Amino acid sequence: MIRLSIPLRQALARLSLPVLIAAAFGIMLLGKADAVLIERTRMTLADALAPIWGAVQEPVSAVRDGMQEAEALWNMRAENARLMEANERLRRWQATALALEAENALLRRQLSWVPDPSPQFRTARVVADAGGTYARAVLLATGPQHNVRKGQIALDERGFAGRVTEVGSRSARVLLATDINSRIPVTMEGSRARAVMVGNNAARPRLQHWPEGTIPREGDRVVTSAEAGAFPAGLPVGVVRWTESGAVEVELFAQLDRLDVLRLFDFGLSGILAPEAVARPEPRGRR
Amino acid sequence: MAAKGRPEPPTGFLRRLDAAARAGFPGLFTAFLIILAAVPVGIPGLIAAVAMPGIFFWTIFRPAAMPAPVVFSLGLLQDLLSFAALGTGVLTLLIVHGVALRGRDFLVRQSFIAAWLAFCAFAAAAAAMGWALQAVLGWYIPPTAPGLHQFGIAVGLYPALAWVLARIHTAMRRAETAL
Repeated sequence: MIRLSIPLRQALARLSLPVLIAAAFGIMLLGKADAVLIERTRMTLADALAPIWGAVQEPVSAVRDGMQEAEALWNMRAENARLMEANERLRRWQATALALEAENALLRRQLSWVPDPSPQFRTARVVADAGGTYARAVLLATGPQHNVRKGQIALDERGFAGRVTEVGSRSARVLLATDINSRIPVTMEGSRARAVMVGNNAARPRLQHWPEGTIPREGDRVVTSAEAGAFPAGLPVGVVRWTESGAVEVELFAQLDRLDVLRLFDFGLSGILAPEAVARPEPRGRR
Repeated sequence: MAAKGRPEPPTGFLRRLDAAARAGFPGLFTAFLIILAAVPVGIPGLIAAVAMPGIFFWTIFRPAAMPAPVVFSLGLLQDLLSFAALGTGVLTLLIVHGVALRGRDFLVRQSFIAAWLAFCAFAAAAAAMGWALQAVLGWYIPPTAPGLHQFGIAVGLYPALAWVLARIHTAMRRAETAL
């Protein structure tokens, strides 16, 4: 080690803070100028830490599962009454669905309908919260040999969650639909009106740019639209909700605050998928 | 450690190792907490809230173990992990460190509650600064709620973290005076 005189060392110590503050500004400029380098650095770091997070995630999920279990036990009675009622209602819907399915199959046979290709997907565990104070994103541990690409679509078991924005060698970052940078082309299922779902870092993204004359209705189902070629049409997204202040928001089906695993779908370029095929985890054979 | 008699003086190498562990602990422990805070538990903005109490505490009570370069690396780690605009965390933490170091002589004599109140002021200033930097770098007006949220978590985490860190600090000092 180099021996320095005491006054010199003191001067260096006093100088280090201003120099480092200047370096912080430099890093800010670098982050603005060379986004690719920063992104690569981040994914390298995330790749290195993904195994640690994967290990830590286990007890965290165990605790969370335990808490959910306790809560479920606590609410069992009310839940049971609700489920009986729901079961009655669903039984009627099941009859309707079966009738419609049979009718649909019959009509398809007559129309020589080309069936949609069933999409490829893989499931990955959410290991880290990759958002900051002003961003909403999660990090997935994908394992060393994966074919995750940018632009793949992430769904949880209920509906649309986000898109893959950065890919490392063993991890991938998914920008959630609630992030302030997220813009998703959507369709209102009732009126078939197109709109854009804009994230605002809050739990419910806003709905914007719907066509004049078709006001989104409360409770209308929102699905993705194939408008920009980025998404297949018809992935379940959420339900329209009007706030008291008169803004239109989307209550997402996906539970973005408690993501455990995400399914990453590869739709290719022009894959179109019916919503019921997404709701089932395993791809079915062709009928 | 034996209760009676003087402890055997450790050999040179062990003593150096001991000192190095004590010097490296604050930085490494804070880095460990930052990495751990990235595990999703349903609270966004936890990473930024975890780094500040550690840096504030060690800057006041053990500034030799939390020099500016260490603060810089911790800020960089925080920014890289939280996918925030790079450099904002570094700058905020460095300024917190610098101001706390300047006011150290005053802060070190304060009671726990007073230190906590001072930390509240620091956290509020840091949240405001993070918001302003985000606005300048992203060139849009970000919502204020996440900043307030981060401030709330940092203020709430400080007592728990400071309690543990104060125990560790006392143990370290005892070990140093025993030598």
